[in-house]
Amino acid sequence: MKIVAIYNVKGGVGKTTAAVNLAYLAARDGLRTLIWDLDPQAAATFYFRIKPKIKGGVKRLVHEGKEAGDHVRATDFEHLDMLPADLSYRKMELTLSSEKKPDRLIARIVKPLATEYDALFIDCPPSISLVTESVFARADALLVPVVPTTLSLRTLAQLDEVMAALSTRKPLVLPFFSMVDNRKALHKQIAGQRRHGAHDFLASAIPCASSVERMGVERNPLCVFARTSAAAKAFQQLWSELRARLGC
Amino acid sequence: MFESTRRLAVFGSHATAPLDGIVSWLVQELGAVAISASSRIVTFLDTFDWRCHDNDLALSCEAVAGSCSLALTLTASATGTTVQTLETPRAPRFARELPESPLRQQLTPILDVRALLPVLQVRYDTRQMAVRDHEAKTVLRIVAEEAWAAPPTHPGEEARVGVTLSLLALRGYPKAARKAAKAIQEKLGAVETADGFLAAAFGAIGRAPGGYSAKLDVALAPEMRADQALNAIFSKLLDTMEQNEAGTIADTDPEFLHDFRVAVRRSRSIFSQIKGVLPSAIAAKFSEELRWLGEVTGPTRDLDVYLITMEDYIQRLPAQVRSYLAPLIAFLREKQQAAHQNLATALKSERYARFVQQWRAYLNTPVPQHVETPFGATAVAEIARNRIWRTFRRAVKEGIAISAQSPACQLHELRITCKKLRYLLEFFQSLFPKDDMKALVTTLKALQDNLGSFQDLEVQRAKLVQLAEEMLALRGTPVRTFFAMGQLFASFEQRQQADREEFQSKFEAFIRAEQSELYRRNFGGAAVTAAEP
Ligand SMILES: Nc1ncnc2c1ncn2[C@@H]1O[C@H](COP(=O)(O)OP(=O)(O)OP(=O)(O)O)[C@@H](O)[C@H]1O
Ligand SMILES: [Mg+2]
Repeated sequence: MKIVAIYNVKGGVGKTTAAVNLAYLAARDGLRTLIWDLDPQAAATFYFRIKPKIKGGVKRLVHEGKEAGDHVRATDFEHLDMLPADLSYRKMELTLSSEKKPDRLIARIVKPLATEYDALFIDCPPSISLVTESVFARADALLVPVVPTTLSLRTLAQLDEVMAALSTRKPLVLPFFSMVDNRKALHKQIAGQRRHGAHDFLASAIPCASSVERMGVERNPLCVFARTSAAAKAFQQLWSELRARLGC
Repeated sequence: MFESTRRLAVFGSHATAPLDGIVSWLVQELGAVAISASSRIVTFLDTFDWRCHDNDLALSCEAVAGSCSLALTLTASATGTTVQTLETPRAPRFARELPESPLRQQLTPILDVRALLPVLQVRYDTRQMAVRDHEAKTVLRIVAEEAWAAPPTHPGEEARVGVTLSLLALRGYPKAARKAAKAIQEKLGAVETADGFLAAAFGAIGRAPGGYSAKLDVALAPEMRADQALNAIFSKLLDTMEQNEAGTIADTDPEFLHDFRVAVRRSRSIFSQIKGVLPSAIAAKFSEELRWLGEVTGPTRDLDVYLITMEDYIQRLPAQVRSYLAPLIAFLREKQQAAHQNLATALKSERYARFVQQWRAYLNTPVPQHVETPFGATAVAEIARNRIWRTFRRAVKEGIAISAQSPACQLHELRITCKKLRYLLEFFQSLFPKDDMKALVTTLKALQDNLGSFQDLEVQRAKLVQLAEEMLALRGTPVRTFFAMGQLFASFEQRQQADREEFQSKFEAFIRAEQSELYRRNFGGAAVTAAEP
């Protein structure tokens, strides 16, 4: 099972949008796919019309990791299942701080799912915490949506610092441009360049489009209700590129 | 993803409810919504002697949407679960025509040389439905499928099988599936089915799978009059001939002719081995017709055997050498086709039709009260014992005389005696203890296989030389083909040598004390030396 975490410490940059559409595309390619909504805001869960609740809350998930599969629910799409969000995820940090090996938490929870799924997408909350560190320790790739602004690029440098401090094995960091507005000169200038600092951005970039915002109304992946839109095609490209990098 | 599938069949009181009625019921009672409707046609394939069915398998074939290939599915009949699937460009007739695949591997030993024939056609009208919660999230998928069965030869004569509702439980939503299943069972009178579909579909068109067997299993009583008993055996053999007639004429696969010929040979064997039971005029007349049938079917069978042996042999050769033998195979096929032409003409002839009609009429006539033949009224068990005992003793005598230096013809003699013995055991098996007969046939068969293989190779070697001469005379055959044929000849010899070495042990098993004792106990010391040839 390949694990892709969609992460950025900055909020509102298109993490959830990417996680939902990429997971959908992976499943459409026939990969047995799971998406884990790790954000207590439960946006990804909402897009799939699933109840943002897991039985027993985070306590049960953390302490009885074997049962992660019991909380999984099928989405309306073939090959795509979801481990939903739960309000109690916001207390995960607290629960974790009393654990012996907090950086192993995510690995432990997903272990029993590894044979059932080919790909796991984790939609991370916008924060730096023991929880996200534990995600980094297990993920194969960190997919980082970056809005092409100077300030956003700085968050990437912050991420580098966090990663450098980690004692665990490190995932592949794959930044890509998100919400690119080509009417803005700065966007155009920044997104026109693949190399920024120590990072090579993926070639695929997601344009800013009103169709993306409609996901909240449609409550479906963009690639379902507007599959021919420019943004949907961009996600398709992003998935192909990601798949090649993951080798799956 | 789907966690489990439950299949509920709507038969019984609602069996006549049309699909649309059931769909409306699902909409009203379960709040289901119809998503899409489709229709597809599935053809079920099996061999003439139902080899898939007998192995608890069902092989089906359907067009793949949006492509011109076919999807083959092998299902376990007992559970309805898919065992293998395969996409092929066209419907296979033989296992060897399938692309290399696990499906082919599984089917090859089952089908052997038999052809796949369409045995059933089913049209499915399908409605995809979903049950959704208040967030419009799908919590259960239902596939409602109405099946219409038809004989493949008359696809227009459809008969309704019924409706099957498949409840596809979605992971994390078990309650919805449970609730729906309960309502469907209680209110719609549906019953859970693991399978049963195929049986129901065959039933709808008034057919039953299985049921063909060339095995001789005529139930006789020991006191039965011999003439009556022989008539019963002859009747079963004539049935087998008639059942295989069409497939033999069409050359659907070599087994039709094989079964046909075995029935002919068995019938001839009765006439030659058991005399004085049927009126001699009858015996003379019909055994002449049977001899003729043996003669007109022989050349084709020989070539069939040759081709089967060749297929088997070349499978094990490197591709290069295999291509060298292609001209030989092509030549054999041509000859086979020509021989089959003659055979088909014979089976379509007036003479053949008259034979079948008169032979059947004779066998259907009740035996006369007053018996005029010497042994017609003798108890069949007595005749059976006598004949089996004598033939066994003769086989023993012939076998003991065989040494490593004996000429092939001596082995051939023994082979014929063994074949006679085998037929006798089979004709009269119902008169003796089952286990004894089984044990006797098993060891006899092992000996026969050895002798048969040796003799076939003897014939095939001679034939190979003859074929080479014919091909040489025709010119145009590349030299390397002759070299490859030379190798083939050597391999025949090698295998013959191996058969020869194995002969002793097979024969010893045949005459070892327990076996002989079984023969003696069941057949020995028969008082009357009735019906001697
Ligand atoms: N390419 C885009 N074009 C237009 N709007 C977008 C695009 N991508 C995301 N949005 C919108 O921006 C908002 C934030 O997106 P999203 O929820 O994907 O970001 P996020 O990084 O997951 O946010 P958070 O940090 O709060 O989890 C949403 O309303 C979404 O519809
Ligand atoms: Mg989010």
